[in-house]
Amino acid sequence: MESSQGADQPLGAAAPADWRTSLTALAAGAVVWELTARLSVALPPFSVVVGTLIELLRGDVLLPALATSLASLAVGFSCAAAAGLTLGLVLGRSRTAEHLSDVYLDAVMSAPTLIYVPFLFALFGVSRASQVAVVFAYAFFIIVTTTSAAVKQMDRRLIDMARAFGATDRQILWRVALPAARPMVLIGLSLGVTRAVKGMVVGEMVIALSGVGALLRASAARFDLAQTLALLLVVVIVSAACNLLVGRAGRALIDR
Amino acid sequence: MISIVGCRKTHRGDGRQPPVPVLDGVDLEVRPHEFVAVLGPSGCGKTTLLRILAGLEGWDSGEVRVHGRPVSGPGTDRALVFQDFALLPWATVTDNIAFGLELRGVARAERTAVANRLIDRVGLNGFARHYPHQLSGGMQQRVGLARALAVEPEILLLDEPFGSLDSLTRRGLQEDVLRLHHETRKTVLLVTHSVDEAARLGDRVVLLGPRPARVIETIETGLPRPRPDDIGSDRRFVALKEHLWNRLKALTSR
Ligand SMILES: Nc1ncnc2c1ncn2[C@@H]1O[C@H](COP(=O)(O)OP(=O)(O)O)[C@@H](O)[C@H]1O
Ligand SMILES: [Mg+2]
Repeated sequence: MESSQGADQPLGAAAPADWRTSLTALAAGAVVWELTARLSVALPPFSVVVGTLIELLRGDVLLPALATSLASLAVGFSCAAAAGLTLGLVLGRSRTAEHLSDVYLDAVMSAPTLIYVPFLFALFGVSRASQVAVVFAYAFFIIVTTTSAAVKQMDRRLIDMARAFGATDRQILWRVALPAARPMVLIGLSLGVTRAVKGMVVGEMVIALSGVGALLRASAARFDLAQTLALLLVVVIVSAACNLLVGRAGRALIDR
Repeated sequence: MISIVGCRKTHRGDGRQPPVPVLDGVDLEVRPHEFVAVLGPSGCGKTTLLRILAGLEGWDSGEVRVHGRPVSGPGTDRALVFQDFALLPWATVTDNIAFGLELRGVARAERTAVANRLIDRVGLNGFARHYPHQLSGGMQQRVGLARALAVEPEILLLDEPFGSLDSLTRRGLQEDVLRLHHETRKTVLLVTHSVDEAARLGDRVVLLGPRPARVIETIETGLPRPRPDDIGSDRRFVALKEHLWNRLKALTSR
C-alpha cells in the first residue's frame, strides 16, 4: 500500500508545521530573552549567545565534538529503535510475554535513567560503546512501551479480516498491524529520539567527557554562561532536526 | 458445495467468563449457485457459524466441509463480507478493494484495473481515491462487497452486511446483491436477523433457534428468479414472511 500525500489523509498525518506561527513564537522568545537579560546580570542576552555560537562554529572545537556526539546518537538511537520496535511488537501481540515483562518495564521506566549510567560505565568503560549504551538506555524503553501499547489497542477485527483474505503472519504485521499502530509508534519514536539526545549529552557529561556534552560541562564549570547557552542551543537544534528526520524515516518505513 | 453436519461449538470464556455454547448440532447444506439465507435471532451464533466457514475459528464436533474437504483455514474459494465493514482506515477505496489481491502478490497495475472495474460495478464511481471515513455506511459496505468480489471467490459469505444501514440504503444494496447473484451465479450464504431480508434474498431460508443454535426449519421460498422489484406485494412472499415471523416469535418468547 502506498502512502498518499493527499490533504485528506486521515491517520497519523501530522498537520504540516505552520512555519509562520513557529517562527513568530521563536522570535517573540528571543525578544523576551534579550529584554530579560538586559535587565539582569545573570543571564547573557540572546544576541551575545548567538555571537558565541557563531564563534564556536568558526572555531575548530565544536564541529568535531558535534560529529563525535552525533555518531553515538545515530548508532545508539538506531539500535534502540530497531530493538524497541521489535520487542514492542512482540510484547503487544503476546499476552504472556506482556505479563512477564510488565513489572520489569514499569520498574525500569520509573527509575531515573541516570541511575543506569554508572552501570553502563562499569560495563563498557570509558569508550564509545558506553556512549552508545547510554543513548540506547535513554531511548529504548519509551519506544518499547509505546509500540506495545499501539499494537495492543489495535482493532482485532482488521486482523481477522486480513486472515479471512488469506494474509500470512508477516503480511498481517506489515500491512495491518504496523499501519494501524503507526500514529502511536511515530509518537514513541519521536519521544525516543528526544530522550536519546538527552542521553547523548548526559553520557558525555558524566562519563566519557567527549563531544558536545564535555564542552557543555567545561563551560558550565567555568561559569561561562554564554557558551553554555550557545551549546544548549546546539542541543535543542539537534533534537528538533532529529525529530523531523525520525518522523520522515518512520513514516517511510511503515508505509513501504 | 458447503456441507455442515452436526456442528457444535462452545466459546470457551477466557478465565473468569463461563463457557458459552453457541452451536448445538447445526446441519446445513448449500448447493452450488444457491442463495441461502440463514435467519436467526440476535446472538444465536450466526457470526460464529460464518467465521467457522471462513476458517477463522474452529469447531468442537461435527463436520464442516467446503467442496467436500474439511475447512482447515481461510481459503481462496470463500470471501467474507463483514457486518461492520472492516475496511482499512488508512487505505483508499481502491486499495481496500484490492487488498485481497495485494496479499496474493498481484501486481499493482492489475489490482488497480480489477478495483476500477469493481468500483464501476458497485456504483462507487468517482470515489476511488477516497478514504473510508469519507464514505457513508452504504458506500463503505459497497467497498466491502467489492473487496470480496475482487478475489473471485466461488462462495460469498455475508454476515448481516446491511444490518447497520438505513432502510433505503439497505434496499438498494439488497437489490445489487440479487443482481450480482443473478449475473455471476456465485454461491451465497447470508446470515441475518431480518425476516424481510431473508425472504427477499434467499432461494432457501434456514431458520435457526436461539442460542445455542440449531436448525429449526428449512424452507424453499419458491419465489421467482430474478426477483421482481415488486416482490413485496407477492402473496407467497407475504405468506412466507408471516410464517417466519410467527416461528421466530414462538422461538424467542419462551
Ligand atoms: N470469542 C467469543 N468468546 C466468548 N463468547 C463469544 C465469542 N464470540 C461470540 N460469543 C458469544 O456467542 C454468542 C453468539 O455470538 P454470534 O455468533 O456473534 O451471534 P450472532 O452473530 O447470531 O448475533 C453470543 O452470546 C456472543 O456473546
Ligand atoms: Mg453477528
